[in-house]
Amino acid sequence: MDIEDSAEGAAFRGEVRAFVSARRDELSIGRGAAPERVPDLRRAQALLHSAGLVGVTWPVEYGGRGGTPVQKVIVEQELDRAEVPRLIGWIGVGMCGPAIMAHGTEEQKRRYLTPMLNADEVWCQLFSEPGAGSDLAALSTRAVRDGDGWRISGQKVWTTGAQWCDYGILLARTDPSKPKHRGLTMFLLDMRAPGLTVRPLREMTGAAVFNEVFLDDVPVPDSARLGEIDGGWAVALTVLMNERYSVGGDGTVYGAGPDALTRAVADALPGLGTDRRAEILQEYAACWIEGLACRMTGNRMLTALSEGREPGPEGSAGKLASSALLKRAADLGLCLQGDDALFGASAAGDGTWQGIATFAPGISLAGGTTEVMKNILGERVLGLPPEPRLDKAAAATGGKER
Amino acid sequence: MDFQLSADQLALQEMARDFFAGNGGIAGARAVLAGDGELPDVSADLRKLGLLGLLAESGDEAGTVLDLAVVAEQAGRTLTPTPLAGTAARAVPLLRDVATPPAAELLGRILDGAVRVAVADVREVELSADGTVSGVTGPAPGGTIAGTLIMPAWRADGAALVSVQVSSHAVAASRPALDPTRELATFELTSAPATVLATGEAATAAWERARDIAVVVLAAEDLGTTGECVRRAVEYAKDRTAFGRRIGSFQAVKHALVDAYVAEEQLRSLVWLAAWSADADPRNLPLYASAAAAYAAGAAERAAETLIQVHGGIGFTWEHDAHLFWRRAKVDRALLGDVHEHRARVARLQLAGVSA
Repeated sequence: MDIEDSAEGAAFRGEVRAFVSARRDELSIGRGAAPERVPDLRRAQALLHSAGLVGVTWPVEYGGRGGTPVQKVIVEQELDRAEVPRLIGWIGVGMCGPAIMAHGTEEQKRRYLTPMLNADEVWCQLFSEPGAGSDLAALSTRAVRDGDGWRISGQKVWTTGAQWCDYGILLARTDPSKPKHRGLTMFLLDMRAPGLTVRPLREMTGAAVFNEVFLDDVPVPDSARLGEIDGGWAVALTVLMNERYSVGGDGTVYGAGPDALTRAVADALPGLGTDRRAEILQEYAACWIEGLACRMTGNRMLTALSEGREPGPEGSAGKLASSALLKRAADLGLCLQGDDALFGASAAGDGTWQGIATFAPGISLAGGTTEVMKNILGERVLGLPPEPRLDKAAAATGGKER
Repeated sequence: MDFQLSADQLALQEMARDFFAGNGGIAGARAVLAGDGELPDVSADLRKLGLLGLLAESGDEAGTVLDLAVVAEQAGRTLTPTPLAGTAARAVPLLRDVATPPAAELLGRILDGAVRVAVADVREVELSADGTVSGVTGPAPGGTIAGTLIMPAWRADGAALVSVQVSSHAVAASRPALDPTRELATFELTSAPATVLATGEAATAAWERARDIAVVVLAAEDLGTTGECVRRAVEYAKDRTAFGRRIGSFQAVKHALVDAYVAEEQLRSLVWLAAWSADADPRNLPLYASAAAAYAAGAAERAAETLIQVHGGIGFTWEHDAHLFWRRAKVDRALLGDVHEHRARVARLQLAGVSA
């Protein structure tokens, strides 16, 4: 057992740190995506890609570095450390790209993967619908044959970044007569296609990163089909599995990690009375310990990946723990603001923890709700019996009989 | 990055699992609670297997704290009373590190099986000029079966590490046990003749390090206890039927089991880190040991309570074994420092690194 960098790992970390530090002005440009920030965020991703720091594990022929999972994590840690915001193209790089690599044609891989990495083209994921969230396979967006191609109609929702994205992967129903998991097909969608309308949804944070996407007879060529006709569920599982690997951690990526908490506690302590201080220290330690556990559970997952094994259940366990931790850390961060916590920001205009607190509830929903994750863990890992299901064998109704 | 058990450690885990499966503590705990039986005694076997003295060597021959934690996890699954946390993880590295002639002599007798020891935390034990100690010890694991006690004592020029023979001058207070498998006892010392094992800063450093190793190994036992509670509760939920369904299919039950399981996996990560750090990163042992202990307290308690809850009424009976796991969890959460002490220590150590 060893949790420290190998000699090569340490050398690589040094290189990454030197690059990120030298280009700090272009990279450490504040968290949070918004339309007016997109050009800067695209430039930052392109700069990172030029240094081989995006798509670290992807093959060189598709624009990646051809590196190891350990190098990928080192890059993520160093970007977190330097407070570099999340890639504008994180959904493409984290989820769409791996799905294209696993299920795409050679032509699709050559066309889409490199621009995805250098942020020439930013991608989103069009899965959830008003009637199909946790129960994704109940979706009702239809794709019907139209000559050599397809026409897609329906509505998607919770589509992160749709308003600034160039492409998306979209799951649609191609055969409603089949049971619901079996009549689905995945498509690569040009977000500028005719018949497609994007309407931003404002979240409780006040920002609008989510969108509704309306599809009215949108034409899609058959060359933009990803995987087999009616074989879309397998592709979706690849995407969702990668989503679960990429969501988690100790909160650092959201600015609410153990180091941020330590700084906030150290700043607040001198102003607190003895009893209050003891209380705050207990809660701070509990959060710090949970964050350490999330990080170390992540290290177990990383060890499996670096040996070419599929991660075990610790991945899902870590995601559950980390989404609960984020809410707890955000609460503590707010508590430390004293009377300022009753307002949207301090008198000096600092609303950092208010922002984190309004963001945190979404993390228990994104990438699989807490409840669905617990069902998956309970059934696949602990071997508990599933809930009785009424919908698995029946033909899909597209959710219209609800 | 290589955060996993080695092939040798996995083999050790399997050996320990088999050993403890044949030497479980549950029947004994039940008999002691009922006042009509004894606990199994695995000390001699553990000594012969080389586990009692795993940390007695130094250099290349030495076993690691992580090896010991791997064994302790398996002991925790069966509630077997062992000298792992009190002797193998505490007295042995303590006596090895202070390395004075009387300490080496006592260590030799422990490893020969000539004496059983218990290590006691104390608040006020006075070492008089005549070489005797007086005062009261804290609860010492293994105290009810110990022949010799090891503890700190204070005299005018500072603290000393002493050993005291259990005798009419060093008497275990007689009290009923909450968890008999911990074999806990406090001692009243009345001018008890003491041997000074070591004094000075080296003794203090060795004392603190050994105590942290014991904290880690105790957390490793709690990891096993947590895992066994989850396993038993899951098995029952797969089998028991209510409202025409197996109860594990109800989300209310399933999610409670998953919560307990997630805590088990998070605790496993912390126990591995703390045990690894004892040998590889000793500067951080206090931080990681307390992190593991604080987490273990909650994880074991949650798992034991879930075990009872999932069983319904039967889980609350004297006849069912669930309460034996619950007893272990309740005692361990306060043994070698409670959750608040460990959290306070984590906070102190972390904030000490921040310039004010």
